[in-house]
Amino acid sequence: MRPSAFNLRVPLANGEVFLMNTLTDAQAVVSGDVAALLDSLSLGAGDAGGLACESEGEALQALADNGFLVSRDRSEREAVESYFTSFREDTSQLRVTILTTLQCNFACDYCYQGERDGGGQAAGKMSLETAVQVAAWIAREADHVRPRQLVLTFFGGEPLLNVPAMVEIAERCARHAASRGVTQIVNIITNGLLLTPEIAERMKPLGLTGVKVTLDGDRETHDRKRPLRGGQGTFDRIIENIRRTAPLVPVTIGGNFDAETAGRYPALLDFLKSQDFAGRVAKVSFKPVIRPAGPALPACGRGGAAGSPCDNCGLADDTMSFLREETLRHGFPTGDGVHMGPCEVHRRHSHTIGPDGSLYACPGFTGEFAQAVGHIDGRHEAGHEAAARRFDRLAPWRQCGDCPFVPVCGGGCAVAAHAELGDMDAPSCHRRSLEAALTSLAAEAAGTDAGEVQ
Amino acid sequence: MKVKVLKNAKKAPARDVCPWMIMVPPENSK
Repeated sequence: MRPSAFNLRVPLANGEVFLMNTLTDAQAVVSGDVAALLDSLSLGAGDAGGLACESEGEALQALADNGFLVSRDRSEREAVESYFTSFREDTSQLRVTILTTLQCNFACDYCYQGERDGGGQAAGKMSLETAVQVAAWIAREADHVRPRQLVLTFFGGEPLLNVPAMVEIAERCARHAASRGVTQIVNIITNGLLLTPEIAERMKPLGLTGVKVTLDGDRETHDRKRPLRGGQGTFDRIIENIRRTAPLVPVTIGGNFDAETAGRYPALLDFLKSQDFAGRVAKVSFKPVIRPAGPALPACGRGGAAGSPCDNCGLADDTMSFLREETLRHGFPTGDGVHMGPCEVHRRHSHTIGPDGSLYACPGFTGEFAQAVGHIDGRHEAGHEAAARRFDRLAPWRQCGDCPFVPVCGGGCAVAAHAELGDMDAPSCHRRSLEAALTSLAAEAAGTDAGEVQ
Repeated sequence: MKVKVLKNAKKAPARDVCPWMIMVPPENSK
């Protein structure tokens, strides 16, 4: 046996060591002598000789049972490819993100959506006729895939600017899902301005389980970054809408930070903590705005294959770590920052549908018609097949060398790589953030202070 | 020789739909 290449270890303040295997997702706390035993096995010792004692045998068995030790004959590269294949081909869920409109009543300075067509009335809005066709396409896919769950996410633009299309699709899909014994789950990602208890009541019988609302910092910052198209602030009205809706459906708070606004998020967390709906907030998750970087950045030298370009890991990684810690300190649930992938773009049965019925691999590509992989009416347009093949082959982790985070990262965000590096096949490396998150995870899991990832 | 398993290897991790944030494809950025 030898230690798995996907073992990560974090020294704990009490002398013990936190272990995580990213391929099996096992987590353990081991004593220093067990960590030393792993070291000796990585140097080739242990296979030929007998066990020093019974407790050593039990320790080795526990490590092997959880994937920390693997057979010397086993190819872990094959194992990780097999893991990604099973993730890709998983049929337990059919996931569809539907952009019912690219119109938006906001004018966020970092958002491309709505920009292409001016954002107002001219921007793409799904007709009821197309909505009916979308529901029919989803029904055909569901009959083909036969999932246990159908997960619909309504997104935009601002999806609440086209409630009729959302209701039409959700109702038709709910009827079809019920007829096939499939559970339908509905999420709405909204700017929150038009969120009402009435919409939550309307959608709950159709499977609504969550609403995600975006707040970009405290009131002053948010009103500057996410104003109405006329420039008016939106913070107070959104908060009031959350207050009225949160008793009906779990609300997740998101936020898109950049270098200028990141420092205003702790004030937002203070504000949210003081609200009467704080206990109803299901999750808080802040993410960096990714902008095109122009020429490829120099290699960061920390993650991915040697010499691979790395995106804005400095600011984004450190700030993501800071804001995650702040979120936890304020008592809100958030992601652990370690399990970041593989994301939906790597699932065969995950689709994004634009307002005109075009199909995309993920919502991040809907701003580019050239990245459409098909259309719900089955038409074959130039570029569809090439784009579909491009996404089918997508495996940036193969350029990540022996990075132990590969199973929980998947090589990062393809849209970020496309936007920042001009190459969606390149890894978008955030190892620094993953390492910081693992230290936090270790400290929380073990209930003691933790050092740097080894 | 202590091995305390905190999370069993058989449990699959829950993952976000989009754990990263993407807002600005190149040709559409302001």
